[in-house]
Amino acid sequence: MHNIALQVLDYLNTIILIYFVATNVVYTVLMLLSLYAVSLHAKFARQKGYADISDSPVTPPVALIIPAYNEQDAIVQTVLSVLELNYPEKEVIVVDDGSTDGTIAQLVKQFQLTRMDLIYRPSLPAKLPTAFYYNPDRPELIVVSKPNGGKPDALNVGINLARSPYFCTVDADSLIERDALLRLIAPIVHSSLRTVVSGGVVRISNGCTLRDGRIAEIDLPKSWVERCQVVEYIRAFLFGRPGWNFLNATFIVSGAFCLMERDTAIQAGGFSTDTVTEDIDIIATIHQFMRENKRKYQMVFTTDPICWTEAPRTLSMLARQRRRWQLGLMQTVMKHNKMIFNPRFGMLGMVSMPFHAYIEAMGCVIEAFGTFLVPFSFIIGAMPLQLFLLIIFLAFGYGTLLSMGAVLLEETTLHRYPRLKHVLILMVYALLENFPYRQILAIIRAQGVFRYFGGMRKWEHVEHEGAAPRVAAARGQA
Amino acid sequence: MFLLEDLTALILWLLATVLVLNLVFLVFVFYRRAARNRYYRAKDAARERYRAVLSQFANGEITTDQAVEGLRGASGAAAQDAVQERLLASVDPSNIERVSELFFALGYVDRWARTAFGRSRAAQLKERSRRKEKAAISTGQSKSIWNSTRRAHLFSVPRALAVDHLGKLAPDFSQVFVAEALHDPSAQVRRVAVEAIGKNRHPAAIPLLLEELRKAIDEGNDVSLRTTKSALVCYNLEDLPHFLPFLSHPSRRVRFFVVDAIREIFIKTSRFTSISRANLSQEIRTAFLTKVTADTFADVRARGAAVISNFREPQATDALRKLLADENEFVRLHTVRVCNDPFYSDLLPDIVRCLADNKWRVREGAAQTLSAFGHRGANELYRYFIVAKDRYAAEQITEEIQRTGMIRTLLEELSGGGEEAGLAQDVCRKMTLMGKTTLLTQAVAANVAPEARILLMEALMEAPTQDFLNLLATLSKKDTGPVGAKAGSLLRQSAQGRSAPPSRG
Repeated sequence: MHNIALQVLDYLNTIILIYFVATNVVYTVLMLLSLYAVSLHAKFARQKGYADISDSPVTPPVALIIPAYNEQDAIVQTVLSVLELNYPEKEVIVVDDGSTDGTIAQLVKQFQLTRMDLIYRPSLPAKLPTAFYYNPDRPELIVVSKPNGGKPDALNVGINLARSPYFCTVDADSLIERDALLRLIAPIVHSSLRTVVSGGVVRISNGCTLRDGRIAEIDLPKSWVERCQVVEYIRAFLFGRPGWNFLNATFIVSGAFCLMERDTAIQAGGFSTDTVTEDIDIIATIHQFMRENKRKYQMVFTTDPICWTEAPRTLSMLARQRRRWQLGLMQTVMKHNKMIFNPRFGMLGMVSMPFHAYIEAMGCVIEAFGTFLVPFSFIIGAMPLQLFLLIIFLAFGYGTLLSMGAVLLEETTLHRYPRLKHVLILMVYALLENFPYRQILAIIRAQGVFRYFGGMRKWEHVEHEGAAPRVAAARGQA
Repeated sequence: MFLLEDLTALILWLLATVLVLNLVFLVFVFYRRAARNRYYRAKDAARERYRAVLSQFANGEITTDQAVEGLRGASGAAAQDAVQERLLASVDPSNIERVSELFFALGYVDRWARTAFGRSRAAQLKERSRRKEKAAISTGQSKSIWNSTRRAHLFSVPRALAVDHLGKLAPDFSQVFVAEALHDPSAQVRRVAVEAIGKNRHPAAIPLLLEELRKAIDEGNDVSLRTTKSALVCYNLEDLPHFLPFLSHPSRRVRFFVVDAIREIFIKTSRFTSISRANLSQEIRTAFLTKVTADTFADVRARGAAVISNFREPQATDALRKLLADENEFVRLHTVRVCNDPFYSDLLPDIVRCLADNKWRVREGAAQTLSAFGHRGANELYRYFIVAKDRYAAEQITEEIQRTGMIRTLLEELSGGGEEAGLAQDVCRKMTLMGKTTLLTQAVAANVAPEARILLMEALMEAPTQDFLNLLATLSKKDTGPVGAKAGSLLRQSAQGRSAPPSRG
């Protein structure tokens, strides 16, 4: 009996070892590709600039869609930030998804909107709007109110109202850098291949000072949970996604700031309520739609269009957010599982989808399990010291290299943290993020996976502090 | 066989490597910060040091030789960058030749050309450029076994940046370099070259850009359609004769993009100057009035309307009238949108007819154009609206009344009295019957002239909503003037109407 138990432990530990080796190999490849792509892109963009796009009459108009649900503390700053974007022709559509707070009142007051009875012509199914708010002196902004139907429903209403050939989804608690939309459209304008999706980088605004819808001063948040997230976002957006983009296998683009071709999104069926992460789902849906219809296309990810968003401040809020993300990822990979190892989908089907399904979606269960099993096996003597050290090294040690590398890449390319103190703090958190933050997240994410298999699909609400305190701080300083 | 002792050594090696690399990263951050500080300090110092010389040169107060003498000490990367930035910022059409000569004299052009084309080719091109040689512009890409390597971003990014700088020289100097860059195997370099052609507006390059456009449309081109079109749009009205032969191109999509580029050139020009017949050659006008309006491809006719609207002549009115009745909805749409010029007031009946179009975009365009015609157009719109049987056309007009702020004019007319007030009240009545009452109800509550509010209340009584009745109740209690009195009477009238037994029949 004892031998059988040891045998089982041996097998399980081997699986954990293989998982860590595979993960680190893929991440290393992505890191090398990203280093190459990001640094060259940054060099070119820094010197060449985007004046050719902002001055060109050929630059396509873009509709910025902001779905909002109870966002009274953040919405005005977000709308101000998108109205101030440096872009030749844009429309801003705020979709109030049945808010019960003062979201609409704040917007009406700030932008002097008047309620009107406007025409609504739906191309995508969604709950019907109940009111439109508009100011003839500010024709680029329209606010629409509708009964609560969830974020995908609100986004579909926005798409239905949009008149531009491209739309950009923006989270209601996000601030967009002034040139970010130009940077986001640049690959679409410059590419000879039809670009249906263009994604940008999301950064954490916690700790920053806001003024008139802009980040007036960049600073780091105070709590370790937020700081670990800052490092995590830098790693994900500078090391993970550019690597997949280089391989033409983009599978995840953050809905907080993402540009899409309107016609394609409509033909693919728009945002679906099948999953709790509509942004991941629509990317997979568009991939599937385009490949099945044998259309040539590309999805791109660029590292210089930056959107600042508010991250969860406490571990419990973070847990809610990550459980939802994991549940959504599971739902998406299972919904589109025919793409996995399907050569018709190229690198996406053969590499990216399997990686996201087996490593990103389900791998967290192995990681969470390993967090307990590996030390346990070692303590009871079922694992030799060398193997224990190897797994520990793969689980923690190698990760520090990736995180430190990401911080270094940020420092050499985007350079958004001006003070040396910030970079040194980020480097310290690049080490700490690998223990215990990563293990805690693995356990939380594993809960998300179990929820999927348990049939749960509830959206856990994440409370935000809103922009008000940081704006107030700015006024105080001014 | 793999032994555990080997594993220990491996782990230790890996651990040591990771630790060392992390340490290297940390040291690199310090190094990078220090280098950056040094660079910017040196750049600031250089800016300060050469400010006087550069501004004197930009203002034409000193010669190129004197400027070279004054800038002799600018040798480090920071100083060179500072001088380059300042010079590029000071470029305008009056001094671009002199600035370019200074770039030559200071060795910038040599450096850029070497980066873009290699040492041996650079010397030759530089000589040709100095002689302001006209380049034979063609698009064929050079054949080389190194092309796939040269396409890699690692090598193409520095070349593209160098071509970008070369493209900023005076057109006569940059032509040779840009023409050469068009043969580059990298799409990025070729794109930058195409953009530079547009910025410099070489007339000789128009056929080449149009060829690039054709390739992008028909065969697929590594330089995007939008980039090429952007470059074409940089040209001016006086360059248009070069576009004319392409209006008869056998490819309909090429014809479309050419007309569209011309349309954009007109729009761009009209932002700064008013375009009249005097700016345009007879050739252009004839081509558009005869050839484009009769093109077999609807998109060509549609885009042509915007160009024709700039002609402001009787033949243009006739052409636009014909296009307003075109069988294709996009032609009607684009035409109706561009008729918002007082010169084309003769087209008002034709535009009004578009309000009944079976395509909503055309109806919307017609409503927008009429509202842009001012008082006369608005009245046409109102008259049509009052009698309109078509629900969709009527809805489109209410949308326009609300979105463009015409409601304010309506309120003014209501308070003005007379025939106009009657028309305005009829419009409000029709809006009420259509259920578009939100804005009207808000106007009753707002602080506008009492006469207007009273007439509005009467209009809203055609189909009173609960919101309106609530407002009447509030007004009857709070307003002691004629508005309050009217509200009270309307409220009583409404109550009587509700309590009356339903008619049988």
